[in-house]
Order: sequence, then C-alpha cells, then structure tokens
Amino acid sequence: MRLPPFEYQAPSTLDEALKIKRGQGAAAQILAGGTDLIVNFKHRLFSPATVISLNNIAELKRIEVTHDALVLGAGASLAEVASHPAVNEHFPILVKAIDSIGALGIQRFRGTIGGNLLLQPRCIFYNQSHYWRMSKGLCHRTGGKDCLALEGSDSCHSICSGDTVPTLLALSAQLALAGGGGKRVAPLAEFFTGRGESPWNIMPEEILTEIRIPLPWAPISWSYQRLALRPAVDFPLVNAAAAAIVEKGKLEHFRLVIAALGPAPMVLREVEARLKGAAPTREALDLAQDAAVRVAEGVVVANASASKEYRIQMAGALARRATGEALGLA
Amino acid sequence: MPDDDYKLIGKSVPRIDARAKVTGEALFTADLKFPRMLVAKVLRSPHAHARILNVDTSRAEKLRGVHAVVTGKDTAGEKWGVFRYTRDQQLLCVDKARYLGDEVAAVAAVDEETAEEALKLIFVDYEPLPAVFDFWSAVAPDAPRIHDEYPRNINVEVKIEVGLVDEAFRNCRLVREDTFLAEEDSYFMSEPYAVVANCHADGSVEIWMPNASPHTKAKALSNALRLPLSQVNVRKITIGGAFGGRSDVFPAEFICSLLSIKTQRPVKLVYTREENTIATRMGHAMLTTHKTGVDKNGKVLARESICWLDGGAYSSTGPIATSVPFLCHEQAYNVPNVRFYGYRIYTNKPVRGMIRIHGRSFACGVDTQLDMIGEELGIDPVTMRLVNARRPGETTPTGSHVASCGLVECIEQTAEQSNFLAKFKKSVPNRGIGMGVNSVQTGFPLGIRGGSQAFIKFHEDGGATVISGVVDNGQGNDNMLVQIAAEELGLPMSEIRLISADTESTPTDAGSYSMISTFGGGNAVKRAAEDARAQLFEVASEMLEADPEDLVARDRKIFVRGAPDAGVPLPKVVRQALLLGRPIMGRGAFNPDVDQRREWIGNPSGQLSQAFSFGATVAEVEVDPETGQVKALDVTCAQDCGFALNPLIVEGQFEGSVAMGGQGGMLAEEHRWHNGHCLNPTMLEYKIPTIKEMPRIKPIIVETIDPGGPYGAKEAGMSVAMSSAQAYCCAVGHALGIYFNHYPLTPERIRDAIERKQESKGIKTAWDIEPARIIPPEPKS
Repeated sequence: MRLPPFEYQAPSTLDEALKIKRGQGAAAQILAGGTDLIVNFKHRLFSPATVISLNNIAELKRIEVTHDALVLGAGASLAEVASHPAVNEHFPILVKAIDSIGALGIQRFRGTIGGNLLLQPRCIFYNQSHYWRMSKGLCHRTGGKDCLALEGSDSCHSICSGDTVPTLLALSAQLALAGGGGKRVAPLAEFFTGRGESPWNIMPEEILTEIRIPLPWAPISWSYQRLALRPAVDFPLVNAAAAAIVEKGKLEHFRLVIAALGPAPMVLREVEARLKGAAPTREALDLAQDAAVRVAEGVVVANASASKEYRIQMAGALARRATGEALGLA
Repeated sequence: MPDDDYKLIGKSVPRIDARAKVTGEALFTADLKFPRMLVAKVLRSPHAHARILNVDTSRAEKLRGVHAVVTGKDTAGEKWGVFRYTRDQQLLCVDKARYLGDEVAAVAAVDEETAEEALKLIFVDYEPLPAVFDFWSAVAPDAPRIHDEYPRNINVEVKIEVGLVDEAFRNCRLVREDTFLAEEDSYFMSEPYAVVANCHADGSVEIWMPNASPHTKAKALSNALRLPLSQVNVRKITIGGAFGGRSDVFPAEFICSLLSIKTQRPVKLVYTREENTIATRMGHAMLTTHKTGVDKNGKVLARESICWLDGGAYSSTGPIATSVPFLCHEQAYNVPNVRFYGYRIYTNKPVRGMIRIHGRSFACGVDTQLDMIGEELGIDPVTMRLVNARRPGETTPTGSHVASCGLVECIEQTAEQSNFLAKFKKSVPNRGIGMGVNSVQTGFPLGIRGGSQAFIKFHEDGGATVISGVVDNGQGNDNMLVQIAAEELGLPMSEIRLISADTESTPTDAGSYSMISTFGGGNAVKRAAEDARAQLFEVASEMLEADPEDLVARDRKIFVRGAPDAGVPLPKVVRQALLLGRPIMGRGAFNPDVDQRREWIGNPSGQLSQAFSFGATVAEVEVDPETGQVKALDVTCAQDCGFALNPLIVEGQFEGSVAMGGQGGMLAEEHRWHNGHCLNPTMLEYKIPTIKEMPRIKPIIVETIDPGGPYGAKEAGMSVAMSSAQAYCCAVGHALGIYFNHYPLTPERIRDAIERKQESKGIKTAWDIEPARIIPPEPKS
C-alpha cells in the first residue's frame, strides 16, 4: 500500500511548526511518531495536504521536573519517558502503561507520549482499507451520516485506545497547547469531547506541546490494568487506572478511570465521592465494579475485536482489579 | 533400524537457506524488478453476490500511464477447479461476482498510483443479489443459489460407510451424540501473495509466485491461457510460508499473465495483506456432529460423523477438504464401524482451502467426546486414547494398510513426561491438562497428482547439481534434498547445487502439500543419487580394480569398504567418466504405492497414502476465570515422524505446530464477519500468537522407520499441529470442568461458557448447537 501524496515538513522549532499550522489548519497534520498515523494514511483515512513531523523539534522532547509538576514534552519518545528517572520515581504507573504499548521495537522507540495521547480513536468498521470501507458504506467519520456499529446513532463511537490516557487522567494531568491565541493549559479531563468524529477539544491551528503531571503531596498507590487478546502488539480491549493517597488509614484522594470503551476515557467520580474520607474496605471493589459496568453499558457498542457484552463485563472486572490493587485490597 | 553410520542424515545440520533468510538476502516475488515492468491492480466486487451487467473500461484505458485493462471478456472462458468435476471458478468474473472481493477487472500501469487511479475509472453495473453467509441459511430450500448447477448450495457430498454401524451401536454400553463448531481460520504466511509474469516474443510466459506446486500452477495456467504447457514456465523463488494456503491456483497469476501477454511487458501484482486473506484461501468454518458408541472399557465400537463445511464461493480443494478431517481420525483411532457424511456448502464468502489444522471441530470433537465418555465410565483420558489408538500392521476402515505407527509410544511418552495422570487427577483450581491425538497422510496422490522425479549431474571438480521438481515454501525442502544427495554421494552439502521448482528445467513433482515432499521428492532424489553413485562406482571399480559392490562414497572419495586411505578422489572419477564418454547422470523416480482406483467421492476405498504419521500432544494451561484468558504453561508433543532426517528442523516444525495449532489455532485465531465483510483481514486484528505468550515446549521425536520412506522418514510436524489444537481444547476444558464445543476458545467464549455452566448439570457440552444433519437429496423435478 502506498502513502497518499502530501508535502512533508520537518521544522526544527515549534514556532515554524505553528506557522505552518496557522496557514493550513486541519489540512496540515501532525506526525508525532507515526506508528498509527502512517497506517491510517495508507488506508486513506486521512489525506492531508501537509504532514508536519515533530521529530526535529528539540524543545518538544524535554522531560523535566518543576517545583510542582513533571513536565513531559509531547514529542518525547515513549521509551525516553519510560526510562526517565523522574518518571520512574514519581509515576511508575506511567511506566507500566507505556510498557504495555504495541511492540518494543516499533511503538516504544518511534512512538511519542503526545502521539499516544492523541491516538486517533479506533473502530473495527473504520480502521479498514479504502476498498473495505467503500464497499461497506460511509459513516460519521468518513463523510456519511450514520454509524456502522450502531445504526441510527447521531455520532461516532470510535474507541479512545491510548494506554497512557487513563493513566494520565488518573494522575490529573494537564495539557499545554500552543497556537491560536498563544499558549493555553487545559485539564486532560476536559479535553475529550465524547464524539469519535471530533474527539478532542483542540483548535485546527493548535499543537500539543506538553503534558504536565502535578507532583503528589503524598505517596501515591496506583494500579494500571489492561486487557488485550495478546500480551504485545494489540490495542487494549479495556483499560483502567487508579491512583490513591491513603493517609493515617483514610483515603484522602482517589481517582478511578476506565477507558478503551468509547471516544472518551471515563472518570468514575461516583466511586471517588463514595470512597473518599473513609478507610478503604472491600466494599469498594463491588462499588467500583458496578459503577464501571453501568458506565460501560452506556458507552460501549459492538465495534472492537471483542463483543460488546464482553467488553462491558471486563470494564467491571478491570475497575475492580485496579481499585483493589491501588487500595491494597487485592 | 537406521544405519548409525550416516554422515549427515539424522544429524542436526543448519539449513542451507538459513543465512540468506536471516540476512535478508533472500529475494521473494515482490522483490523482483525487470526493465519496463508494469504494476497491476485488481478491481474487486463490492457486493457479496451480484450479477455483472456491464463493465466500462474506456475511461481507465485512456488514463495516461495505463497499458492494459482486462475483464472477463478477455478470458478464454475456461473455469478452474482442482478436479475435472469441480471446475466452477472463472479466474476473472464473467457473469457474476460470488463474494466480496471476487475479481472483476484488472489494470497494468506504469506505477501503483496510476494503477489505483485507473481502478476508480472502471465503471461496473451490478445487479445485487441476495447473499448467504452461513451454512444453515445456505442449505435452506429457498436460499439464493450461488452456482446454478448446485441445488441447495451443496458443492461436495462425501459418504463413507464401513462395517455394521447400526448393529454396533446397539451393542454399545454407552452412546453419546455431541456437536462441535469451529469458525474460519487463516494462514497469515509472512509473505503476502505476489506474482510476476513476463511474456516473451516467442509467446512463452515466465511466472514467479509463492506456490506449493509449480507444475500444478503451470498446468492450470496453460489450460486457462490456452498455451502449450512448455510455454508456461513457473520459476523458482523464495517463498514465505504456505501452510496449505498456496496449493491451489488463484486468479492473481492468471490475471497477471493475461496483462503481460496483452502488454508484452513484465507485470507485477503484489497483494495487500487484506487481499492475501480474502482473495487467496482461508480455512473452512466447520460443524461436526459425532455420535460415538463404546463398550465398557471405553473402546469405540461405532461412530457416525456428520460434517458441514462452509466452503465459501468456489470449490477449491473441496472433495479433499470435505474428506480429510474424517480420514485423519480413521487413521488415528481404530474404530471398526464408521459412517461419515460430509457436506461442503457454498456461501458468499471468500474461498476456503486446506489449512495446517484443517478440521478443528472434527478433531477437537473426537477427543473432547472421548473425555466425556471417559468421565461417564470412570476412565482417564490416557487410557481412553490408548484403548482406541491405531497400531502398526492394521488397516483403516477405508482400506489403507498402516505399515508403521508409533502412536502408542507418542501417547505413553507425552503422558509420562508431562506427568499427565497425576496432574489430571489432582485438581488445582483453574489449572488444566489435556491430550490430543491425531494422524496425517504423507501425500494423497489421488487423481490429480503423480510422483516425483529427479536428476543429478556432476561438475568437473566433483561437485553435483540436483534437479528436482520439489518446491520449498518455507519448511526446508531444499535442505532436505541437498542433505539426502550429499549423504548418498559422499559429498559435503556445500558442494551440492540445487535446481528445483522450475517447470522448464526440472521434472514433475506432486507438490509440497499434504506432507508428501520428503516421502516423494526425498525418495526420488535418494534414488537419483543412488543411480549416480552406481555409475561412479562402475568407473571407480576399474580405477581401483575392485568390485563395485564393495565400494563406498564418503568425504569426497570412493574407496573399498574398510580401506579409506586407498581410495580415489571423487573429482577424479567424474573426470575419468567424462574421458571414457560415460558422463554421470543420475536418474530417480518415486511413485507412492497407493490405490489409483481410489477417488474422493466416487470410490473412497483403497490405499490412500503409502505412510501415515501419528502424534500426541499434552498441553497444560491456567485460566483466569474472571477474564477468560488462558495462559499456556507447558506443552509436551510427540510425533512418529518415521525417522528424523534433521532433528533440528523436525523440532522447529513441532514448535511452529504448537504455535499455529494450539496457541493460535485453539485460543485465538478466527475470522469475524459483518455480513460478507471480513472484520479482521489484517495482522493487527487476526490474532496469530506472538512469542510472548508461547509456552515451554518439550518436543519428543518418535522413530518407527517406515519401510517406504527415505531412511524410514515420513513427515515432520503436522500431527503435532493438529493434536495441539485438541490438547489445548481438552486442557482448558479440564481447568474449568467444561466440555467446550465452539472454537477457538477466545476469552469471551470461555466467559460465556463459565456463566452457562452454573445453570447446567451433567456431562454435557458448553453450548447447545444445532447438530449437523444428513441433507436429503433434492427431489428430482
């Protein structure tokens, strides 16, 4: 399969990249590793006029610790993030999530943290060849007005499949974006729209530059759980991340996120609210599982490599395991 | 017993092609480049079933850079079929498209972009027709007919009955009927399909493509292109895997040749991974109902098996595919009274062929049901298998004499080395152990295939060139031929050249499928080498003043047995033969001793294959009942391969067999569908195993020295591939106390079965699946 024709730009500064973006907007697409995007190009899911590689922009590869946050340049490779001492010291959960991505020799070195976060949501009716899609019919994402996985649906249900997404969300990460009117910082929690055809709150001229993870005020206990059909290569069928701070036997902070279900990761705020302030007990496990199943039932459609029913069930199982491990109840 | 004195045979020598493959030097079809070469692309039907009313190619033809466009109108109208009576496929659709992906037109252009652009400029008027996507709806009386000549879409019907089945059932202590279903699977060879065709001014066409039989491809193309066979020259090229999926003839080579003839230029057609999946071959979905009756000791007295196979849109190897699941098991287990009904049913899906673990539902059904019977009678799985295992010297129900058979040794050794009985009886939650038993043929030359021939010539420095029709599609056949010739001629392997798999320069061969190459091609080369050696001994005997009978060829020398120091160098003998005007030219041929009157449908009786391999595999697994995920821990596999010519390669075959048959074949590999669309045609969504989840594998080579095989060899690895699927299936079942009957055992199927188990009691299968039934013949109208 051949790539579609496009102009290839590999600027060495962020300003140059932003300038191209200002001029071309959505017609200029960012290549941040490309382990997924190149396949999408070959499938003709996108045919941008220009592709802007971030690979030569050193300022986007920085990893540093400020007084209150760990700051990851969006262009840092997954391997660089996972092997960085500060990441290992403060957020081993992120290392675990990264270790589960794709294949070591490909995605880990070539893929970037920003690219994984902004991974195009996936759907078994969408991530197919041009011939396949054209013989099947159009959907919300390919210029049509229906969803092939859920007939009559008014938006796309493609699946947010990045392994770092629930992890970063559980860690209350924030995103820094440049472009448009300058630089802005937005909580990751508000970044996802829940609509697969336009999954992120990002302007056409914006570029994701940094991911900031606030340093915790006390040690975090955590868990990352992921289910896939194979232990390597595959995207998650469901994943879950939990982060907790327990002080003097009391749960002071708790966040539980399930993802790879629909276009947006889901924060189980109800569980958080119910558990906070008390000593963790095993009831938390049932609570997490029931809440996850309920949430998943409202989100999951039959558009992955496992059935809808199985994925819903597994959202519950993984939320339970993540809660159990993070709260030391397993 | 084998001669312990072999220099190379029976030794683990590295493969002659290993270096080229690991360094990337080996060239595959897609790597070929020729001056003026064009690129071809195929236009495929976007409908699962449609009448083709009109194809307008005029705009595509006018596109700059397009050199030719072909449609059904450019063909001679010959239909392809493996057998005379199964010719049902136009290699470029003429009137109808029968599955989503059927070839409707093709273009040759200066580059891939132009070819793809040209496809968009071909306009086809289709009249969509109702389509059927599973065997139940395909055999319904009011189902749309996919081929006019086949009522109820029944493509092939095989009926076999031996013994007194009904009477035997009446005398049984216990009779069970259970139904087993397996979904479609695929090969996922590392090399996607590709063809290069190069038409010459003399009218001949050279063709390169991955194949399992260059001579079969050439014959079919000569017929379809209406060219003399000598004008269709299939060339040798490195091949990246076959697993049964390269044995047939595909539209790709026909289309590519047509385009080359039309443009008088070389043309290359490289399939995408998706095209390799949907437009070459895939495995059949299969429904099997076994009715099995036993005596009080668990000895099977009678079995009736009814099988429905989803064959897809065309016949392919239909009669073989329909029969082989039954035949493997009439070999593996000694059942005196058997009845088999096999139906291959057309659907509007991609074409199905033979695959390395063809017949999952049949095979896993047999062993699962034996375990169920064993539980009812209080007999352990090892005893159930030993009681029924085939022994040497016996004859199968359909009349094949089994000259060599080490099945009992395979069962006993795998059971012992895995500590089967102790682990089976001691219940550890969610841990399980299971055993599978199977048997395969070393070729079935019926009707369509002959034997193998070989020539050997010498170079003046004493080196030799072996000329054989055998093709190597990944398993190591090239190495096998060279290793045999080197052994017989007393030469190092590095001094043997090989010309093979080229229809212009090599003699015919049966093709490297159905496990015949070592038995057939290996024997032919051995005989050619023996012939050459006899000629060398004639000349050497004059030089050494010795009796040819007393001579030995070894280490590039010919000498009188026991006196190696007084020998003559082999190059000297070769040159002496030239001087004497008696050039050395070895000739050898081998035709397996089978009953040529046997026929798949018309007469399924007589010697099917000269030899049979047998195998047993034990798998140990751990299941996570919450997620349904299975972790395979240890696999112990044994096969009677006759004699291991190269243990390194045999063990490699065993390991690959466990990966493909058990780990992938039973835990993950299946195609998923949305009407006629295959949801997982590519390597990301079709779950072949990775190295990360592979278990520890203990290979056990059992040797029985078959009287007909070269050095006693039969085949290496297929019985392990098949029995691995059964072993995994039984092991997962044992871990959970569930008898599984819908394959593969994906996590969601396992979860579903666990939930159902809580409701059900007694010894029964996990799911109630509508049984396969005898389909009554269509009333004559």
